[in-house]
Amino acid sequence: MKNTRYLTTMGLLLALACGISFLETLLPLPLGVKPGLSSIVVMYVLLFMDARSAWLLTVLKSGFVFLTRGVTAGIMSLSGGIASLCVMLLLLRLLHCSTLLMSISGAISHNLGQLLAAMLLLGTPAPGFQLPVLILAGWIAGTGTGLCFQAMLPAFRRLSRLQRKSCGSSDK
Amino acid sequence: MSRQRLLTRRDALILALLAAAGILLWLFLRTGDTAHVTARITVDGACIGEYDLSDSVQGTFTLPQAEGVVFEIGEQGIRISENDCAGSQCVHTGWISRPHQTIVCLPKKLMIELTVPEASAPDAII
Repeated sequence: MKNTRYLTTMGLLLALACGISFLETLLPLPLGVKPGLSSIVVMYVLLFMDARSAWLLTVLKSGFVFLTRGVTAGIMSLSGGIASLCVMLLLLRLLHCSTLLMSISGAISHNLGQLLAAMLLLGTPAPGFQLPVLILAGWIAGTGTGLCFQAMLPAFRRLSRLQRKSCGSSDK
Repeated sequence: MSRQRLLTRRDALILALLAAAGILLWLFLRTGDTAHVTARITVDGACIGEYDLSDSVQGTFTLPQAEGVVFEIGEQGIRISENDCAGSQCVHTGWISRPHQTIVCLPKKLMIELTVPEASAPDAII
């Protein structure tokens, strides 16, 4: 599916993910937690496109964070993104899991990946005590994104049907 | 794509276990004593200041080793009230007052860690 349409779709999805995650940085939430709504885009790619595209999106989005918010923020974004994508992919392949399990475990593993990166960057296990808070915050955030994703599913289905239909003529 | 379901019974069980693990860990790691908490400020692993939160002077201060960072000690504990780095995650963390809580500024490799002084903590419980 390496054609102009694929390129355009990925470009749009990347812009969407970057836009959402940028808007979230403006929210004045306590403890620096974020709802992580851009994971809706990653979940769409995972379910309606393929794993390769999801990896591409995750890495490119971290690249955007790296360029706009610096090296440390880039590393944090990448470590969270990779951890979350690994877990979501495993759950999807092995358990054919439901939306909520995918989004919640994705959010929790995102937080844990970032915690691990922070401990490595600082060279001390001290931030490890934040583990329970991060698990619970991920649980709540993941519920929010999971419910949003499920609510948008009918629209996503129409979108993906439309995409496949128009792709059919130019593909292969 | 097969029909994506919001939640199955099996997945609900897994999620309940995850939540339970989070709550249990939280209760287990939560230490109640906030009476003699020391704030240890480190940059790249090296300690640049230690403050007993119960009898330190309240107010804001800066440290020469942590440029652009304004610390504040108050009734609610300690916080970073200003930081010139991008994102300022540490400022959003807000006040901390319980042992083992941390405030981290990754770009500056700066960390505030709350500890209980050695003397009052037992070496081992037999």
